[in-house]
Amino acid sequence: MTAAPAPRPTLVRFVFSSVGHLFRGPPLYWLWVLLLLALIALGGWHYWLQLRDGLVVTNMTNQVSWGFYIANFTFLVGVAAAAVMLVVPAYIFHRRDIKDVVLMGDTMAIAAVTMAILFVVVDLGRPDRFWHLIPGIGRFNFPESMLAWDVIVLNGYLLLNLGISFYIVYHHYRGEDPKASRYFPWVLLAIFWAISIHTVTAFLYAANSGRPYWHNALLAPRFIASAFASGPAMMALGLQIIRAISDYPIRQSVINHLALVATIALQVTLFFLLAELFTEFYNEGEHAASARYLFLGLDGHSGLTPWIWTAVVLLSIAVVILMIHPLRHNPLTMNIAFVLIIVGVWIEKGMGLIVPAFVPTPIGEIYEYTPSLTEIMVSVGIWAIGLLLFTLLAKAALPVQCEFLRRQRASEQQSWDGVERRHNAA
Amino acid sequence: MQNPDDDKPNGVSDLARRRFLKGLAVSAGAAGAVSASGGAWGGSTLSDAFADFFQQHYQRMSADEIATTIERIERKAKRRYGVDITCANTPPQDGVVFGYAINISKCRGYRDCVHACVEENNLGRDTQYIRVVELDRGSTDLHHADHYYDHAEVPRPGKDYLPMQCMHCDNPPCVKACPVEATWTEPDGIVVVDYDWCIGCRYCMAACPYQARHFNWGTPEIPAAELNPDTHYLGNRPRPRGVVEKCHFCVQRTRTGRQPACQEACPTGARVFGNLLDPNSEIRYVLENKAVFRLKEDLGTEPKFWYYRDA
Amino acid sequence: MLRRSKRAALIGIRLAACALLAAAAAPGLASDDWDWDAVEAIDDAPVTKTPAAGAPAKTDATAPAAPRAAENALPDFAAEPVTVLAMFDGVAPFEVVPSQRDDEMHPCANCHQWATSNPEPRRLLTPHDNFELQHGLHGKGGFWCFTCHDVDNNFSLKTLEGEPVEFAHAYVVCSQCHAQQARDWAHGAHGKRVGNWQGRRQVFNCTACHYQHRPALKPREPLPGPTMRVGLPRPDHWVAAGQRPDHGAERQRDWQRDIERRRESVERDDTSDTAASGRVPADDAES
Repeated sequence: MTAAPAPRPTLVRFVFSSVGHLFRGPPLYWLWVLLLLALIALGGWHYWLQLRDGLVVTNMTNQVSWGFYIANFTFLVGVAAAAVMLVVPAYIFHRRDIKDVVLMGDTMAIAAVTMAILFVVVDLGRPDRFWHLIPGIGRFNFPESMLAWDVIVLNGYLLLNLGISFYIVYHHYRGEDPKASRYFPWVLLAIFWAISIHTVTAFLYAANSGRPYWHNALLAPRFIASAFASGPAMMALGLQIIRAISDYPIRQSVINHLALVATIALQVTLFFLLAELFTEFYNEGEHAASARYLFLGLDGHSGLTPWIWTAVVLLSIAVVILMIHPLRHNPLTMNIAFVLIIVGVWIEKGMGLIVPAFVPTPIGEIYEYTPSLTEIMVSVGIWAIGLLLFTLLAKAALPVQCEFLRRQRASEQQSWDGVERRHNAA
Repeated sequence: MQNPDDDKPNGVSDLARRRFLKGLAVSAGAAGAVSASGGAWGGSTLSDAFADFFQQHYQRMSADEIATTIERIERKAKRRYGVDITCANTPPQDGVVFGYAINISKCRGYRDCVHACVEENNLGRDTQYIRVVELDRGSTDLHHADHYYDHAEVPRPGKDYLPMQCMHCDNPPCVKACPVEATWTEPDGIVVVDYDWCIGCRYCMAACPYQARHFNWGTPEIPAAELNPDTHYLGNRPRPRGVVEKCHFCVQRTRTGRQPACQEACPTGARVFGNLLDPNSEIRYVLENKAVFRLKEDLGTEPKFWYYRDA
Repeated sequence: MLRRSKRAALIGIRLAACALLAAAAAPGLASDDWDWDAVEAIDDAPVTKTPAAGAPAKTDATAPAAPRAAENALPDFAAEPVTVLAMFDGVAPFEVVPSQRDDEMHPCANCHQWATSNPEPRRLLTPHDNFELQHGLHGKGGFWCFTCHDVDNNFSLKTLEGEPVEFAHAYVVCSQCHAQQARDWAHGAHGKRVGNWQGRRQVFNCTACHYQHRPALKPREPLPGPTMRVGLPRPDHWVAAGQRPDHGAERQRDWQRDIERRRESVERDDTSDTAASGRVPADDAES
């Protein structure tokens, strides 16, 4: 797209040229951005209504005190952490094809974790008191509160990804190779951090001994398993879209790698689900009430039952598709499977994880929750913010990356071919 | 007396913090203006909205700051309800830890306590701190409890009635959960909430195994004529929207030696309240001589709230 | 001294009322015909004795109040807390507060303040058939008036052994059979402490909650149950079957009235005697 700048590249020029890229694009790009901006405006309007009237505009009650917002938050934490599935092979196993696209994984992680944080913010009753969370001027209940941990790991993960991505892109912009000694320790930290955002978020729920649906040791493993199914699926879809609309070189081997990861993770997810169901229902006690509500309905209340069975069916179809090799390598069926995974996990890790923990309440009360229009609209707005963020970050970073890769490829034609041969053989 | 921080030699960091906050106060005019114009935060004037926004945690305020805050609370209540309230800051008494016991054999499910509590504690009229459930006689299985019983007459034959409220756990999961320490256990064992520090994340509600915490989804609706003007900072003062609240053992009453409103309202004498540290107290007699039990004891929350039956 | 005179005044009011009632039927009856010493026969009770001679004077002084008192002509047993007799081991001294019960009072005194009682245990016929005794689980006739009342003195109870007991100490009579309840009551596991948890311990007498002639508490309509939060409809399953649509509002009104009444009575107690107030500050809490 743009040629390498003639003057000496500086930080200011980098920022200017990146921002410049945002304003150059085909009509389709503008259409997409405008659509997202419209959705953001819609969500923003509904959030204003929520600020004005309070959380009464949601359908949450004292019985079901967390709902759609926290459900989306949970799902997105999973997506954010899945970037590690590109980072590990790229930086630890030095897979060149993946290293070329690892930045897209980071970008997606940034967008996802931003959305996750926004979902928590819109769920707050008093967002104006957000400063109470800032250590030093506020009062931070660390390390007792798991929510305090979550604030740290989410923001830390956001900063880590921003830092690493910026460092790499900036060096690519300057036409230099980023120094591995400079960024590699941070990459290692980010890998562990990615696992930690999951684990901490899972512990946030599992810590509540009063809610047996959450209070089990399998929660964190289930989280990670389903995240490593939905995250790569989402990433694979995103990468294919980028490949289709830009000249960014994304190899099919990357997509195949992600599909394989999603397959294995999905198998594990379903196995964990089975283990959970067996434990809950073989000798069914009071603690299984939430699971009964979710899967079978409780005392005539079965609002979530169709949803969870939809999720189970979608995930089962997806796992069958992905386990049959011809289907996994067929772009159409593979992408169908990815979509099924995303929808299925969104249901299962979202509403299916949050709401049943509150139904019945610890003292046996049943309130059936469905999100209100405001909650849905605000959530749509946040998703639009995330997609816009991803679009803009990718839009700004892609030309730099393309330019860098072109130069790199020109200078390393020999070894590049070698890498390709090796992978094709593998 | 309330502020352990006062005794600590942390004046420097305190000063720095306040200076920083003052700086913020000047620069964050827009936020305050929005707060004031929205009416969302209780119809404050601009200066009160500022002061609200930068109000410190209860345990971190000096005596002077608490006095100013209390003045503002009273002023805001006057503006909102046209009622002169007094907001006390009575400290806990030495050598007192409160406990509660309920005689299930005596409770007849009238719900007098529920409504006395609503009145006493200025609850929004859609909130009840106390939940009385109807159970099959001898059972404590809450999953088969009727929360909404509404018979022409209670008690029904073969039924027990079990009132539940905040258990003021000695090991409260809600306090652990709060990310900003807006809720804590006072020296007299009462688990309180600083309504002006709570950010409304509702994690404590997820953590509480007794469903004892209640959120102000909207601004609580209290008829001005029914406002109880005797309030306490940590107790029944009018609450803003968007924060969590709960039973506080009527801190405005009990710290001056009075019985909590639910005990006073109970027409059957099923409720026994008192000082756990006083070996001659009624509650101690109940604990030592009756077959008492607590709800969900297996969770290790150590509630200071017991139940017993007449033998 | 203040207490003594107030008590005298209250008794005076009652006497005036009795006198008014009695005037129509028995013109010759004078208030000072009553033997007040017999009413307060338990000597070691730290209750102020009212000298019989003081009564007529007070009756005159409070004469204007008599018509109002006449509506409520029956004795209220005691006007202020009295210290409980030392009949329980290991219990710090405490006080009983008077019964606030003003309805369902036995109409017996209308006649028996001047009519002689027949001490013979028997099935009560006209004119006694407007009164039903539902006391005594195995009773069904096993109990009758003079199981607890002093046949010789209408203003006194008696133990099974015949020892007179003041109405203010009715718990003495009750505890003869209900020993377990009495022990729990004395220690605080039964009954109800009034006003404060700290300082002077004042509890209701048995008869404050249990109407002595039908001690089982009557079932009653409960107050309204939980409400859904503002802005959301009440789920179907929250409404019990057969609920009356106006139920909530109506009950709420009744309850409001009830609360008002209770609050007034508490306030009256508080102002009538500051020392007896439940709101004892921490410093002077030691009794």
